[in-house]
Amino acid sequence: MTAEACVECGPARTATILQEFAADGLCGRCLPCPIGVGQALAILGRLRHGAAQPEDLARLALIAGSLLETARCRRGKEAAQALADSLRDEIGYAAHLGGRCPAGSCPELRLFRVRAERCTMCDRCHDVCPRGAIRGDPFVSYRSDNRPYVILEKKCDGCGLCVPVCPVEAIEPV
Amino acid sequence: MAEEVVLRVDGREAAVPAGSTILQAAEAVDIAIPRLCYFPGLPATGSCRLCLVEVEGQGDLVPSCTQRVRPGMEIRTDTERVRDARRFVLELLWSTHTGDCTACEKSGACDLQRYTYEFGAHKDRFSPERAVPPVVDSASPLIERDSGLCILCGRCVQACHEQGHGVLDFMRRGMAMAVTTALDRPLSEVGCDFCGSCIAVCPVGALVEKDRKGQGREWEFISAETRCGFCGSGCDQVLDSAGNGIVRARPGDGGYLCARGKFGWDFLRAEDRLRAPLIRKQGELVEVTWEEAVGHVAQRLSSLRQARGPGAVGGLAGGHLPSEAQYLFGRLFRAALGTNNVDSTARPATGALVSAVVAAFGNLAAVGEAADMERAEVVLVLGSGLGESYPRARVAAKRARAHGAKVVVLSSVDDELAALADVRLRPEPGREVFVLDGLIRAIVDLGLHDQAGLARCRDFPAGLASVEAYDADSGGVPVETVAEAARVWAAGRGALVVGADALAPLAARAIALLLLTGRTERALLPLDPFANAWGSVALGTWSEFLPGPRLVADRAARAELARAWDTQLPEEPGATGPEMLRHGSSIAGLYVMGADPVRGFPGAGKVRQRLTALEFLVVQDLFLTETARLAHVVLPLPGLAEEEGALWGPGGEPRRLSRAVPTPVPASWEVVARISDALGVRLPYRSAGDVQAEYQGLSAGVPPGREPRFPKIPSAKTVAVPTTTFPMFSLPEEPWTHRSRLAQLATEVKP
Repeated sequence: MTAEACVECGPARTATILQEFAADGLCGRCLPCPIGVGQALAILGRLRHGAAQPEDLARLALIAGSLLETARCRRGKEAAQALADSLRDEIGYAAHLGGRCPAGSCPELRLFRVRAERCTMCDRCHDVCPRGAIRGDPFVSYRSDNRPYVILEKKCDGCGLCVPVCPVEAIEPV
Repeated sequence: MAEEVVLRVDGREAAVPAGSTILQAAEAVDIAIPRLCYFPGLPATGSCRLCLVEVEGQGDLVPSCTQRVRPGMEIRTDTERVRDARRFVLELLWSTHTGDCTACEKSGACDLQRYTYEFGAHKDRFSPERAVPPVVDSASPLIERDSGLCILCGRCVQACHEQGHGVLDFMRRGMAMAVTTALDRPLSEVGCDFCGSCIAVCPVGALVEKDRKGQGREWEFISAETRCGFCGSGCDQVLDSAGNGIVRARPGDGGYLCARGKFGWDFLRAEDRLRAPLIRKQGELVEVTWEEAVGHVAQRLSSLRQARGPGAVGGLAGGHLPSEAQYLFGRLFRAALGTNNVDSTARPATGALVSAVVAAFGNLAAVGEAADMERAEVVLVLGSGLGESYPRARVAAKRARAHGAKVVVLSSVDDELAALADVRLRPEPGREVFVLDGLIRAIVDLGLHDQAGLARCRDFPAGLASVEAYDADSGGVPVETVAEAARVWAAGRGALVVGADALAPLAARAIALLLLTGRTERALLPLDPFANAWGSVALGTWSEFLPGPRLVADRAARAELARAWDTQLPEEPGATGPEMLRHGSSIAGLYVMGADPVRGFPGAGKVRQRLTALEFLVVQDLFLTETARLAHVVLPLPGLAEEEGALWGPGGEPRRLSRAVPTPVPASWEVVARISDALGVRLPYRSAGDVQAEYQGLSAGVPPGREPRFPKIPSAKTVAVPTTTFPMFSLPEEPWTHRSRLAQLATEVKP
């Protein structure tokens, strides 16, 4: 996990900054902030849920640039600047548009896989999976028709509960 | 004159007074800067960010509605950068605006729509997002508020605070912010007085008159500028009409209409309006032609006059009739019928004040109107409930305060004007006059009076002698408060506001307060129930006044007018309205025009008896009123919105009326002129303008005022001042007011 920890998820971080701004500094005394920040949050949400459209990135860029021009006060401009800075991570945003979160911070975009060479077929992960997304047959001596453990991409919502229960660290993010 | 600042806007040189905003400077050189939150006359907030401009040497774009000009500024209002910023704001607004222009009432007059077109904004740039679901408040019969269309510009909030009751405001904050009422309750439950100021300033369709829905599109409207006739404020009113008649009213230059002016015009389309003349035949009122009715009226009036003498006929004219009708009504009786028995229904309300003013000044130059109050530096209000009865006065006081004027209010109840007071005199009810005496004494005792002016004043200081000394026991106001009021009132440009129904003791004191502080021009602001009360005085509808006003008793005035009218004028004084309606008066034939004395005069039973006993009664009105039911001839009357002509403001300024809707009923002046024709005195006017030109010529010949006369002040011990308070929705006793939706609202709005 150490390598991934250095990568930060842009949409997740920016959404946190904007949410904090909306809950605290955003007064609503001029129009661009309340509407623009609301829009930006909606778009970031879509990115983090894998539901974003290609034009959403252009919208975010427009909000970042124009909010900087039109916001009345420093706090609004700072929020716009934070968004603009974050958008410089083009690869990260493009990955979200493609349905992947490189940092693994967006639950719905996280993917895990079972490394078969490590798996001991103990079945603990299958037990904890809330969505029944892990398929496999537990190890039984002398049997050879048991299926290997795999995570079903379509069912997995990226919650990650299976990772800590694995005694041999066989489950890892993609 | 303030110092000028020279700057350049888009390359054009603009010279504007220091303290102007960039937006004003741009307008001075005909450059329109788009704006949504700024509205001329309301405080600028700089919140919509649409008026952003580039200033040379300044990194950020600046809001032109709030930024003051500096010498040598280089402004650019239309660069790509500016246009991008504006387009962004518009596109953001569209993400919260739930409107559909094709079905919106405001389409065609909507600023959002207009700027979207001008800046090429795409309404679908951002996907629809609303933090708060839209709410539609259509609980009241008058105003509909749709928060889905609201763009949060805040103009209605400003307008509501400036001239309403501050019921609309920004609620919550941040992304959940909305313009709404306390706890999102309907307008009719939160103290809204339905002046509709919010509708007048809303740039989109979030606030509309409920009644106009489906009545026509903005570009189909034909506008007519007229005056509201519900009270003596005579506010500017623009009536927009489409195919089926009037669709809505909106404020004109004065920027304000109260609920009556905004919504009360709908009596005009009442089903039971009179449309044809009626003559009583075998006890029943039957429809006849105008020729027959006019001929019959003339024949009956002249035969009564021949049989009984000129004293047997008389006329009573409504105080809200246009000036042309007022003038010709007086002329009909004095010239064609040879009697001074002609009077106005304005007398019972305005009589004492008019007599006091004329006695003190000789003319009406001391009288002003609401605009004078707005310019004043100190406003003194004498009386209770004036703000409730005359909302325009409350708004004028608010506007005066907004530019730093001090307001002194003497009122025995905590009314709307008292809430604005800087110095509040709250006497015990009925003891107002004692406090006024205290105020007069304090001005003299503190040496605040205008000694030079008073030296030229007749009957001073003799008149002052009857003013009694004041102590707190006699009025219930501490002596120090009275002294403070005296100090405030004595300095600066002043306006004294008083109900026109002030009785003689109050009127005399009001004039004393003006004279003591040297205010002799446009300083007395009478608040009148009748739209043209001062026109009836100035144009000779009162029994003692000839046009001017000049007194009937004045021989020279009579001779001059007789020459102008080419006739003989009667000399003997005429009966006043109350005298004509009194038991035992010599009147046998009465022409009542635009008045309903059975309802409007005190003593309805006696008045009815007297009118029933008349040999001939003509009543001209909009509806078959209580009085009209007693008449031998009933003539229809048009409403003010259906007439060309003018009203006469208290200060003598003409208030133009133009016809908003066509009507089958002839103009009020025309009917009077035709009756005069039939009596043998030809009045060959072709339009209201001809009549206007004639009376303006006459009033121009009035000699200027003489030295003022200090009023004789009746003892405070003998009088009590009545406290008249009629709230907004209890309408004056005119039959037509009760035909309007306001009457319905009055039953719904919680006090």
